[in-house]
Amino acid sequence: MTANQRREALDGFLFLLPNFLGFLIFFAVPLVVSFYYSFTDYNLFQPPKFIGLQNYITALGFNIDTQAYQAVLAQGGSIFEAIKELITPKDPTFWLALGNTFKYAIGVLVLCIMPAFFLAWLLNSKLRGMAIYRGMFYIPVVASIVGSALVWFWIYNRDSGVLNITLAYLANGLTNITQYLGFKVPEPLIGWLVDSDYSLLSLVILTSWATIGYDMVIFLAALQGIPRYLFEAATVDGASRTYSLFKITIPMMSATIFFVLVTNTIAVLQIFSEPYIMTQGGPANSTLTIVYYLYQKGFQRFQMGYGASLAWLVFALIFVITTLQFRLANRWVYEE
Amino acid sequence: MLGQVDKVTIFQKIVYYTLMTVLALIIIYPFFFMVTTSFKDSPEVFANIMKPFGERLRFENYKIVLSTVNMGRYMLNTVFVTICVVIGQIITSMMGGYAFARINFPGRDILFRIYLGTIMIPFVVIMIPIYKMMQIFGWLDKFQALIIPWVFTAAGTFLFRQFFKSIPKELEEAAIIDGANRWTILWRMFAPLSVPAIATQATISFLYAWNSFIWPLVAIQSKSNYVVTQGLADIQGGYHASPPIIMAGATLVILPTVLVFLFAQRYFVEGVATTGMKN
Repeated sequence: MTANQRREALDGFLFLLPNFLGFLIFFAVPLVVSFYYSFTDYNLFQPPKFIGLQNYITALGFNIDTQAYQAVLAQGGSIFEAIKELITPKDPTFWLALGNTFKYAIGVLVLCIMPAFFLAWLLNSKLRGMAIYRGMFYIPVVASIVGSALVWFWIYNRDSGVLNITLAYLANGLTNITQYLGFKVPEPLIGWLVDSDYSLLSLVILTSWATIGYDMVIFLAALQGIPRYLFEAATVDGASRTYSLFKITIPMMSATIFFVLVTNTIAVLQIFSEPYIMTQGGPANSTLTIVYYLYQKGFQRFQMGYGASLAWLVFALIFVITTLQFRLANRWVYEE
Repeated sequence: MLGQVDKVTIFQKIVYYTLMTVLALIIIYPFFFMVTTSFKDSPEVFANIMKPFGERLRFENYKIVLSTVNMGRYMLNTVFVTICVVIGQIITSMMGGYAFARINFPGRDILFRIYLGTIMIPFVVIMIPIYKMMQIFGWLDKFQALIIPWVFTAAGTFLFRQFFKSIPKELEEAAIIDGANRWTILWRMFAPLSVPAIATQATISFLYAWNSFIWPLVAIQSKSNYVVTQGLADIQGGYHASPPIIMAGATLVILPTVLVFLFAQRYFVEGVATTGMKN
């Protein structure tokens, strides 16, 4: 190295130093420590006790109980009921939270990503006022999710919430028509947040409402990047709008669709505020997400070791899903 | 959709604007409900929740939220924390971004790849050790815990690196010949050219700091050090948990971000585009 190069390298290190120190102390070190904690029994007050894979076994493992299996068979239960008793998860709550999180992701796909695509498609026109609509759709994205969740908490209220009152009003309106046919449309009285059949859906609707503007802006940017001549050529060839949508728009946007899928899935795997504010994971754990379960275990019951292992499982999931989506993307994403 | 290729008829325009307006109103309605409810009193809310206005605008709800519920204090705390995080993130990201973009030093590219790889790792993975670390440092329940671990951002460093790479090298070389050092170049030459990138990063950092919830929830116990999201969650479980008071609190938490968004819309959208598309 010449003196000049050495001087430059020193400058480089000095410029990076504040950033790198922060990265090391508040990211790299905690990352390693967290990995270590995940193999320990740790309650924050006594030193962590190394227990090997025990936390992961508790989270992912199953108990096998042949006695219960035989007992069910002896009582005349079916083989399926017996198998249910034979193999039981060591931590059923974890599996419940995992299942809820997956349902959440599918809900967001249907209620957020797809409508966002449709909205972007609608907004991608040269008509006046588009910027205003885009801005309005984006407002929920910048609003604090804690604040939004509290607002929706009152919209969802079973007896005096806006949503049920609106639905009842619509039902009565329909009854005005259907009464001539001899039946009434019943007034729905849905316990959005207190009925375990609806609670998860209610949170999905909130999250979708809060995310749709973000996805839409990304889709819109990609739509505007599609060269116009493609559509013009298709129109000249007599292609219909639907045909253009499926044969030009969607293939040209596949990389973006893929990106939105990945980021939304990662975000859903980390959902915490919505269940914390609206349902505390209930009723009957129907809205318990993995991160909320992690919070309960780590910071309410001080099972920090188990909490850390849950965090690493979340990360492993993110890693697997992202890799999987990348692999799939290689097959169907069109790149120029 | 419309107007992409062919001419739009008046009828199509009417259908289109009606549809967009209805959708936009549905999206905006929860905020309308929030603001109007914050000016009513409880009996008025429960008498008819759909009616936007009560007998008069009850500004006293905001007085209760700001002083009795102490939201004023929480807002000051959050403003302080947010300003520190935004300024800190911009300074460290600009310096780091400059080093990655313009200075040659051994290990630079490997280190940059490591930085990029970490963007995917969720915060919850490091939350428990950071909590312990704050305990060891004696920062638990103090603003330090909300500020210092947060002033370093790999994503921000990435953003500035990309931006600085687009600035022509000749500018810088001329300055070096004139005897300027890198410190001067970064702050006197690059900074003024980077106003859009700085604004973009500032909006991202601002939203992040102002809206953060799970970390303050575990790190801060004393009410006097609460941030707004915590204070708001606290109202719901507390003595003043009536809809108008909660909605007034929610308005105070949401309004600042919405106002900043309305004035700096361009940078928010650019932030989404840069963080979104380029990696």
